[in-house]
Amino acid sequence: MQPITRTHLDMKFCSFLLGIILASFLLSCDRDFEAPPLTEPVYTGADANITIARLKQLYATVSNPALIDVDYTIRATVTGNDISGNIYKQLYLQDETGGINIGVDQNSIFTEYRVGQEVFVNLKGLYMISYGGQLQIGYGQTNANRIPWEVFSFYTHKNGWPKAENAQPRTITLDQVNESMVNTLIKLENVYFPDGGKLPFSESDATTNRTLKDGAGRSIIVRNSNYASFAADMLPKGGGTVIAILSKFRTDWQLYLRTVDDCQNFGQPIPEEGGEIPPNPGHTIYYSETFGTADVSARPSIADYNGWDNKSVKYSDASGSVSVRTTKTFNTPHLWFPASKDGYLTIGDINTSAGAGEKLALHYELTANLYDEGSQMNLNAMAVTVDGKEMPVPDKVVSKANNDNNKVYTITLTDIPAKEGLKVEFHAKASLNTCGLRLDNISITTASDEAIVIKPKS
Amino acid sequence: MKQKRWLWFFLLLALPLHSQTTNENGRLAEGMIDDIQRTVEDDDAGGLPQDVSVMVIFSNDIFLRNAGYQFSQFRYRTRGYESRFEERYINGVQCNDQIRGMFNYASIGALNDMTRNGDANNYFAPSTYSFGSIGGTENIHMRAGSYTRGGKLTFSLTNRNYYARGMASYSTGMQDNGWAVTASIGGRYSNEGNIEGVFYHNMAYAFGVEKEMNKGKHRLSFITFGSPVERGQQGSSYQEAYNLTDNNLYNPNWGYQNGKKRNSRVVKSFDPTGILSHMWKINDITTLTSGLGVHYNRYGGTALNWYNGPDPRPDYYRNLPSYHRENKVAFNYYTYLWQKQGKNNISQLNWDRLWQANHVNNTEGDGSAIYMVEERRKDLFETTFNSTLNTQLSQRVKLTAGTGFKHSLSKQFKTVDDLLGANYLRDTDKFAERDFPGDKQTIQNDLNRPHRNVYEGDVFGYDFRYQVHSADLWFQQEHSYRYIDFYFGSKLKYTQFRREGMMRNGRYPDNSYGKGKVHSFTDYALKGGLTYKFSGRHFLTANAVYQTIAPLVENVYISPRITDIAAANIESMKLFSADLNYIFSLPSLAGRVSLFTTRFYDDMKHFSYYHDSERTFVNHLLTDIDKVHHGIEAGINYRLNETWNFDLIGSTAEYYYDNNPEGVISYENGKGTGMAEKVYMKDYYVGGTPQTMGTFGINFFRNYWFLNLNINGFSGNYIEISPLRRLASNYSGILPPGTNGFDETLYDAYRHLTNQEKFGGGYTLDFGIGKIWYLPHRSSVNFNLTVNNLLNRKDIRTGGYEQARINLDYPDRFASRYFYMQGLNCFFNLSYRF
Repeated sequence: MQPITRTHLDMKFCSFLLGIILASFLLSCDRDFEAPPLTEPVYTGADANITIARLKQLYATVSNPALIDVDYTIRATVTGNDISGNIYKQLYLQDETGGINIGVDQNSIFTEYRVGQEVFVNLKGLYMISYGGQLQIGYGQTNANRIPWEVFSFYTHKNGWPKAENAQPRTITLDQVNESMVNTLIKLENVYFPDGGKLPFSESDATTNRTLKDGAGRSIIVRNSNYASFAADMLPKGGGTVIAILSKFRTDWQLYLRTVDDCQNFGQPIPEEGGEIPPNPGHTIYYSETFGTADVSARPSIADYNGWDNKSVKYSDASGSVSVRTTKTFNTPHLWFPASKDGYLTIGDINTSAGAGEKLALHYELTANLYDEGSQMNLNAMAVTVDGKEMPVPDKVVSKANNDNNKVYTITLTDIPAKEGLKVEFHAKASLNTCGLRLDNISITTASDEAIVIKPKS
Repeated sequence: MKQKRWLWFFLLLALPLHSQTTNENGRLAEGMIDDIQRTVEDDDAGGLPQDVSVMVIFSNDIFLRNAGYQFSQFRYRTRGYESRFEERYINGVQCNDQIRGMFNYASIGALNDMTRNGDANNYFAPSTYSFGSIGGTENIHMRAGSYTRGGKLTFSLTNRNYYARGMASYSTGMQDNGWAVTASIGGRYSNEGNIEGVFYHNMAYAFGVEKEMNKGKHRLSFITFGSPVERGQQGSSYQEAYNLTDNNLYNPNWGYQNGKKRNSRVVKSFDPTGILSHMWKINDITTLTSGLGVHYNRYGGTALNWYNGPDPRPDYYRNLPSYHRENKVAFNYYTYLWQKQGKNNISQLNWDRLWQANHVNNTEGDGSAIYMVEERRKDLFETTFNSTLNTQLSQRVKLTAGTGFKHSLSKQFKTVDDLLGANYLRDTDKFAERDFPGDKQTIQNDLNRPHRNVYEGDVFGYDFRYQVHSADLWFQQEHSYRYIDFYFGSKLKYTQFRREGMMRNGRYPDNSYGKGKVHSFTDYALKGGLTYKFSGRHFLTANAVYQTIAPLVENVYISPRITDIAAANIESMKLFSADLNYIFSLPSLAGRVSLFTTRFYDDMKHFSYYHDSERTFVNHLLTDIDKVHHGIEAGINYRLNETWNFDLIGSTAEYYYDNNPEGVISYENGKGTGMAEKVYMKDYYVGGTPQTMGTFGINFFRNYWFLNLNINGFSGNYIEISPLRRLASNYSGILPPGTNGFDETLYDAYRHLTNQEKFGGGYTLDFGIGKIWYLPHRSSVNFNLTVNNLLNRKDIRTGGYEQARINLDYPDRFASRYFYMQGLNCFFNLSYRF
């Protein structure tokens, strides 16, 4: 055995020291992760330039999935999602004009799109889908026309943190249900489930329709998925309040609960029976003209314009003074009837014959240019003639003082004949049109029972 | 003298099939092999299976040495056996755990200087310390007195899961005063290894002391060691993901959190071991060796979990372009997002998005975590006692007999590791919630504490124990005569186990909580062998063994996390194994050629996977599995001269299932349980290891320079089949060709889904170089560099498994997962011995 020398020992000591240093270095490395900062989403893209109602109007006639090939952007709030599983692979969006659903191929969308989340949806590249007689936003060549998740994320942008109070239901009664409310969030007070306390929301093997009634005996379907988290819960007893997405499938009006919490204050006395179930308030569109989406920066006259929604219908203006325009406020094409000039829009060859046997109504939107202080006029300056017969247009004075500038009124005229070759003429009379008028969104539909012929656009 | 040492190395390689203790003479070999670690460590949680480890190779058999080292990179398993058939002892104490049946190589990681000496027994040949096992037995000598006096420093660089390793050790050797002390520390490190997101932090220690008394009559030694590790794991993925990222080592487990890479699957393991052993030299021919081992393992693997949120895994099939192939725009957009760099890339996890979802749920929802990281714990506490007697009954008859006792307590549960900003987590079963809406009982994970909210560190989900006790008694007797040697032996073993539930599960309120039924097994083994010596240079040996083996506790319960219910027909597996070997040892040519056959009867196996359309975890328990492993293996060394020698080593075999076992399916959400159906597995191959494997090695040695070049070839590697795809009920509507109503598309789908994929074979090249310099004062410096896969082939599939899910309309939708061999990889090692 070799004697251990001094240098040997030193070397051994140093080696060990080295080893220990190495080891402590290895031990000291720890992996701690900091929580990522939570940044409020802010949308920085193009401003919204179309409303949901307008969008639906534009695509009212689609049957196959129709590509949206215009740079439209809507700004809307999420009112319904799949949080309970009752709504499946859909988001309900709503703005001040209406609601629409959007199909997304993803589970648990609610984790990213909460009720009350404001979103901007860039629509160009998405599709409008007609399903069950209603329009929804979707995609082409995919399962159930749902938008693949990442594609959806590309088009949809959150703005701000979600706030539940951003999604307020509109309180209505069942007789007020109308087409403009489709896919919006509504609230029905003093209603009850006849099967309350007896049946669950859904049978376990299939989506189930339950009936909700009001005190007037009117009723509506509440459609519940067997995959909903509350499917097995009993329908609540007694009277109460229901918040739901109002939906329509073909001719059936339906409600979709978002969560079981949408049934509120049940256990009250059942509202008294009485009255009759009103006829279905649904309506069919026989003619619709939104003046398209063409570029109208050159302010073309009616004769020069070719961006009409309806190519088979003839449009003319005997005066030549009417032009197609957009403004900062009204950023899609509409007609401008200049002040103190006679102006015409004559529409020939409308076919409403499919509406034979129904009551039809003509709707149009009108706004007066009340920019100058003190300006004031009567909207009846726009006379309407249908098939040569002058229609009784409502009398409505609007004024700058009354904040009516750029306020849009929807006018509804009934007793429109159902026939081929129907002629409708709008005539802004030079003597009465003192400020100038804008005309937009003309349509002929089945008439609702509403007596109101003029109302501010909601 | 030193040159002769080197010659010893090759002699050792060529020695016949008998155990041989490596000793100081074998030390040189370590320069080439022992310091090198090639393994990826185990990953039980749905990732890669445990590699065959090469950390300890003592075998003197040329074939086994190469199988252990050269073939391990191909996930080669000798004779196709599972790791539980390879027994590992430390100082005579049996160290395979009783839960998975395997030795945990991680427990001796970076302690290579401590684990260099030992005995190996090839296959079930007789040994001095155990009855043996068909996969071979090794006894690692970790007695302080068995280490040579001196120290060693080692530094290594590599481009594998870690990139740096350091080790320091010092031993006093057995001193004149009868005391010996040894100590070692080591560590391995990478903040990110070769595979993205995989990091490696490890630090190891060992301390041993031995006292020799009565002039060596008694030797009492104690050693304690541990190798705590924290490491990120790689996950296997689909070919589509590999193609999209152009990276066959793509790792779906990680993603960015706050700009920093975070791996969702992190293993944290610490397993200190202490072994007290006593050797009593009763007389010149009799020794009694006894040992008590205590082993504790804190093992946890993290994983992402989510509740009512979209599946966040980047390679979930709906997040892959192929799912959107019917829409060209969507397909292209997904492809673009997968391949683009930086923002919006979707090929990795998006942690920030998970935090955001939880945050919004705190403000707008119920605040219970949508996404969270859980740690699945499998802690183990084992106590083992072994005692072995070695004696000579006569000059020609040797007797070895022993007894062993082992107690194991396995604690399996999960804890909340990271709530990712959520306020809490509600401890209910998300899968049951979906299938039992409104049922407030069934969804509970613990009816004793229903509707519980849990926070970081809390145990939730499941919590149970396994208690396993076993005792065995064995002997073997070896006779040696002029032309014939023979041996025989027998073993008797008693095993009992039970499950104990710490939670009362809502799906199984009556049989989940508390101590469960005791299952017990009495097993026996018989073995014998014969060596015929034609001359001192030619031998013929034959061995045979028949034994029964109790099932592993992990394989008998239908859903062990939540219930005590076990399979109806639990029984011990039976196996028969035999081999015939020709061994030769000429001056320049030495080696072995063998035929072997092994048959397994009534084996059990437990499969667990997520069933996407049933939306729950599915447990599939197979019983009565029969398997056949048979083939030929050969190892030959030709020594041209003192400078050059050549190896030719290989095996070709068939490992396959030999019957159609019974299977029982149970859903963890409680929706279905005990659904029995035959599984059509007969004649499918056992996957995950090449059935043909070989290497040709050219070795050079001169002036303490070592060079070697190996050409490796392999073929016959099959995918691991999923039993769920082999149920007739999946294909009940499909008619064979020629029948009325034959549907070619459906029939092709059936053919596709029941076919077993065979991976391509191939060749790789390995190169090694090393040198030892002897310095004054008995010190030396050596280095070695090995380069594996020199041709940088990145397309070699080393394994894979089928997904359980099937869709007859889209047979490709649920593609198999694969793993690939790393391309060119090196290991550089420098050590200084003093």
